[in-house]
Amino acid sequence: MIRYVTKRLLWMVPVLLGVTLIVFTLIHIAPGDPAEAALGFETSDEIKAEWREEQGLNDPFLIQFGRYAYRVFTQLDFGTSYSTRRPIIDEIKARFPTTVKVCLVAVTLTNLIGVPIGIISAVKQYSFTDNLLMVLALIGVSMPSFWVGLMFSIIFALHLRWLPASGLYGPKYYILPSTALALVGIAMSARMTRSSVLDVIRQDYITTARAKGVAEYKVIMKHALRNALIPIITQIGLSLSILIGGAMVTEVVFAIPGMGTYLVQSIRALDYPAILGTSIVIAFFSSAILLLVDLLYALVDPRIRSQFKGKKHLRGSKA
Amino acid sequence: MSEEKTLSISDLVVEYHTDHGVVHAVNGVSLGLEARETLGLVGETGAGKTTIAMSILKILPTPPAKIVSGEVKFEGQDIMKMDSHDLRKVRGNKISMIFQDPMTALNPVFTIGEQIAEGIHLHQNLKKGDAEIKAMEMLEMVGIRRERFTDYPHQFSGGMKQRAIIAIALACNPKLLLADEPTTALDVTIQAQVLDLIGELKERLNTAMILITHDLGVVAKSCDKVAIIYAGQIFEYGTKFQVYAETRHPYTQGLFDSLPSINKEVPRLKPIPGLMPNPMDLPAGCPFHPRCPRAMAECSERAINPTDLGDGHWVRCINPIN
Repeated sequence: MIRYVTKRLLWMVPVLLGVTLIVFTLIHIAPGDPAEAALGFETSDEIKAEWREEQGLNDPFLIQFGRYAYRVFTQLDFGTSYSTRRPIIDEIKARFPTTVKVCLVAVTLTNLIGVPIGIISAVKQYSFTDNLLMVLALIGVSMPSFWVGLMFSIIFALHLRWLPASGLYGPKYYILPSTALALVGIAMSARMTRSSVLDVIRQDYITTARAKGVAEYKVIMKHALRNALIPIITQIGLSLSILIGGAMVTEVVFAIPGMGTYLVQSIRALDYPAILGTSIVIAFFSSAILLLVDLLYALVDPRIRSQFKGKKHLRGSKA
Repeated sequence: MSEEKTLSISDLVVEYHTDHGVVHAVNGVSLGLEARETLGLVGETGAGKTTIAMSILKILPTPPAKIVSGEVKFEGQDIMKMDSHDLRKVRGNKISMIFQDPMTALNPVFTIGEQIAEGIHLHQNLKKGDAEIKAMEMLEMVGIRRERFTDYPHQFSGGMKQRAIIAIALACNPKLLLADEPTTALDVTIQAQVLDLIGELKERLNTAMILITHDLGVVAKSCDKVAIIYAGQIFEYGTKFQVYAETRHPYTQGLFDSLPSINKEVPRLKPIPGLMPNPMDLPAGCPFHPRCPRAMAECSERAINPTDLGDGHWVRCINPIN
């Protein structure tokens, strides 16, 4: 188990290096002059040239990349922001918790609502309830969350004046963005749970459980759900990692000072270190979540658990 | 009460309503079973054997299945009329079932021990710990070391899984055991072992049993009575001796003719010509008449009722073999 986790953690290094290389390349082939963005139009060409030299932007691409990667991966030094001149790591530290909070609220909401809907739909397959829920889920899946966010702002903030439309100064401020983010997730989670549960309740061992005299709700909640959990966990992990990286537009819509807003600002300002730093942090947490998901599989399914134990052990027990 | 039969089914009709039409799986089956008796339910795949067994426990998936009519009386009570609470007290406690495929009949995420103890805990008013001790005893009874209690199904071989399923089924000393082709999915070398085990435990626990199979050899070995099923109807019913030695139904005869024999010099096995009719579209009259060598004009004209031949032997045929 420990060996497996270590192996997976080591695998994250090439993944992150790959992400860094891709983002680095994209930034450098994108048009625009970071010096102008950082110093302003009025600055004289000499000062800009001096600044470029200072930032190492005149060096060959591979040297720049090597230097950056070396600093990040050996010293965890993400450099300083072009626009604020503060260390990137501080900028991220100030914003990351906000994004995580909004995402966690959204994911919790997603699954607290989505999973039960999926179970109900599966148990009452083809009933009116099932059809109604699945049509609603289809509508939910089809709405982009930034649009839902805008609609929510218009309805609940502008017209009804129930909730604040922007910023993040208290619990009330989480409601609209989290719900907007969760809506798509709820729909996806409901559909995923439904198909997963449907798959499982047709299995023979469910009939065995019924034949044993197990009560129907227990058949579903204990025997079926535990088996249906793997796709559900995958879905939760994926939606969490997508949200952490992809809540950008929704964050902008609600003016939430999180990673998404920061990334969008940085791209506009051609703030290379900020773009890179944010991307790497997001990539790191996405991979960490996926690792966590894989470990959760082992917790849920003993067949996967036994794969984690060394091959030696398996050979011994089979004999 | 002592006069009461353990099980008596009368005129059971079960259909599956699918998008493609109505499947007539069981068409008026009646049978009875005394305490401690073993009845062999013999028929081809798709004859409705499993549907009958699952109707007895009322665990057919509804929909698509629909029990159209019929009574299933267990110790005098009609299972078809029981509410879900009473049904659960019967399932796994008084009537239990061994399933066809041990590979899929165990829940992969719970230990073997948990799965045996679950039924015991449900039905016998035992605390979790006591139920587990009882479950370990059951494991040993089916010939598995008690240390394997905490193993998961994937750590068991096919034969061991089937033994574990037998342990689950017998854990609460049921009055009736439904064994649905318990050896079909197993290796030939394991089949005999598992059958012997079931037979032995059934004797020890005084359990009546319905053994579903398409293997006439298995029936000869372990059953008292035999019912030959075809297209959801019982064609011939009687003691093992009556059905094997005094075969009256042409279909039963056809089954025996298609078996290889050690004593007779047979150049070629004689299969029954044709295929089982599509249960969505059964032929009128006797469903076997298109394949029957003794068919008469009347066979396709009206439904055939069973004829009592005396001594509990009866046959659903108007032109039986003599």
